[in-house]
Amino acid sequence: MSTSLSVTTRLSIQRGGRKWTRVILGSLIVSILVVIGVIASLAFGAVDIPIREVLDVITGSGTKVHRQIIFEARLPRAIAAVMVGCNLAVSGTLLQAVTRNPLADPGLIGVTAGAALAATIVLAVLPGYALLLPVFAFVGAMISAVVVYTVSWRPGAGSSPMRMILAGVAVNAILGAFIGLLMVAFADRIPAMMFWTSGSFNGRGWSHVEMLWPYTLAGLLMAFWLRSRLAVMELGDDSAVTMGVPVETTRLLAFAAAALLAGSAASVAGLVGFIGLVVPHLIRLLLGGNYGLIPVAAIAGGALLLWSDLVARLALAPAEMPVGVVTGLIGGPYFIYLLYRARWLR
Amino acid sequence: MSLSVHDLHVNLGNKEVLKGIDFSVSSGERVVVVGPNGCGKSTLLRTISGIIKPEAGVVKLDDASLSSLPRRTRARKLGFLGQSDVAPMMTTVREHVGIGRHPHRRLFRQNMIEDEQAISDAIQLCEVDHLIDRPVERLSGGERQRVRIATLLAQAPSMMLLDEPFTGLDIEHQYALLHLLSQMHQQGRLVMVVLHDLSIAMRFFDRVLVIHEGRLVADGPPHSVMTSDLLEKVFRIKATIGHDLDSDQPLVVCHGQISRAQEPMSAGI
Repeated sequence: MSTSLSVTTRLSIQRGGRKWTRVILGSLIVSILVVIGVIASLAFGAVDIPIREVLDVITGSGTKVHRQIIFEARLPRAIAAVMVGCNLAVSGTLLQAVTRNPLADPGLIGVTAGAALAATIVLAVLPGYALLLPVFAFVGAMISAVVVYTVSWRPGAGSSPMRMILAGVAVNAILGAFIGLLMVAFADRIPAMMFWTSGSFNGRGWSHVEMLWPYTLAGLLMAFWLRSRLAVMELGDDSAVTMGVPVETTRLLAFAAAALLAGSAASVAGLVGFIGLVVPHLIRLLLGGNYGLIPVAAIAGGALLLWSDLVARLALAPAEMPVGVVTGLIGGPYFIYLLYRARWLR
Repeated sequence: MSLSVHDLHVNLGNKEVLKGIDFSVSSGERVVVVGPNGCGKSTLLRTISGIIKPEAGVVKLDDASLSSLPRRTRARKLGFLGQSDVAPMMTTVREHVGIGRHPHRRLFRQNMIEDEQAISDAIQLCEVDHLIDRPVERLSGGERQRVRIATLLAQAPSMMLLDEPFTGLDIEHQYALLHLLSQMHQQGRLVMVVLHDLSIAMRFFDRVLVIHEGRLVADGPPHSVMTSDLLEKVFRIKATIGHDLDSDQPLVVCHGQISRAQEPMSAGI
């Protein structure tokens, strides 16, 4: 008996080991994708800069013009894209865990619609305040997240995943109606609104990076801290309580972190769909379940959005596509391919 | 180790589900809770587990109020297998059972050798070793129930509360589970189970708690508690307690239901 137990133990440790090899390999691959993506983003654009010159500029030499292009336009834009992708992926992972719903993403909890309504109000009614658009969008996102959480909360019973989703759907519908109303009333501003709602990194600079990084860092730390609690909560609230997880607090913290991540992302880049929904699945399909994978999901989200932005800039140059269009066009088919390939769904 | 419940009152919504329950059990006993649907059995177990907050009354574990214990300490002492079956997304059997170790883990001390040992022991005891790499959501109901039991075993609490653990299990695995529970009992753990099969309740447990309309109406060894009279009043069946000819084990033989018209005037026993 004891020998057979130790054999199983050894087997299971080996299995655990294989999983960690996969995770390390996975993080390595997505990190390399980020690095190559950043270098490519620095090199390609309206003015192509040779890779060798890019490396020269990074190491401190290079011409003044190239330094200006790289440090003042392309680098902050690339960093912003990586951070927004990271925020969206982690936000989606957190939301799918707390709502126990594979279709959850920042759009579901009202954050996105709140940001969109606030942005639409600025673009339509207060175009003079366009500089403050990120602040408005962030505040709008937070207000609607608070409303959704409050609506889903009941005294005595607390929050519930199901009520959270339904409240999100209801708030989304209401906000969507107001956005529609504004679009009809201010039809001449529709192009600007549409460009914002499809997401873009056009003209994003260091000020946006400065706005983003505290949320990205805090959100990542929070997600990493909550990861094993989230895995327990997947077994249902009753099991989670009896395994020592403070369910309400965890749900509130994860919801708040997801809202801050998605709200800050939306305020900088507009509405970039798909990443929050699909990156968590992508990581699970490729590397298996469990929330220890949050850091991998974060980097993968960053890589995906960085490359999408590169395509958005270059595909129809000199015109620029909304990055949300690209994430959908690249990510959607790849996701379908993964769905067919994955052993989980065979 | 002992568990005691004093004057427990629980309301769910506007309904008073438990109306003053008192009992205490110790680790030497195998306790089964029986009662008709909706009598408050599950509510009792869920309240003891800390899922539901009681309106009044206390649950004590070795003289300490359960609600005063830190969450993880409580989870290492008391484990619960509920009825709700939530299958997590894309989680393998091994990962599922591993989640049971949560109360034993620390932020920077994740899977230790003793965790791995507890996980593989639980997997083996519940006979799910051939499934460990399969996603839980794709298992059959009975296999999934065995995985959930394995997760409880990996949690290794000194006291186990199981709410209808036979759900979905075939007869072989029902008996395997009964055997497992007596092993746990022999190791000094306290085992308390909600069951509907009265014959099994009588054969495999030392003490029966009968709940009826939110009250504890009978408490004691099976042969003295389970009588035709009680079955008639609480379970509304005409039944006799017979015995298997070979083994002399008790059997509840039901002859039929009592129609609502014949309802006894008072439910008090």
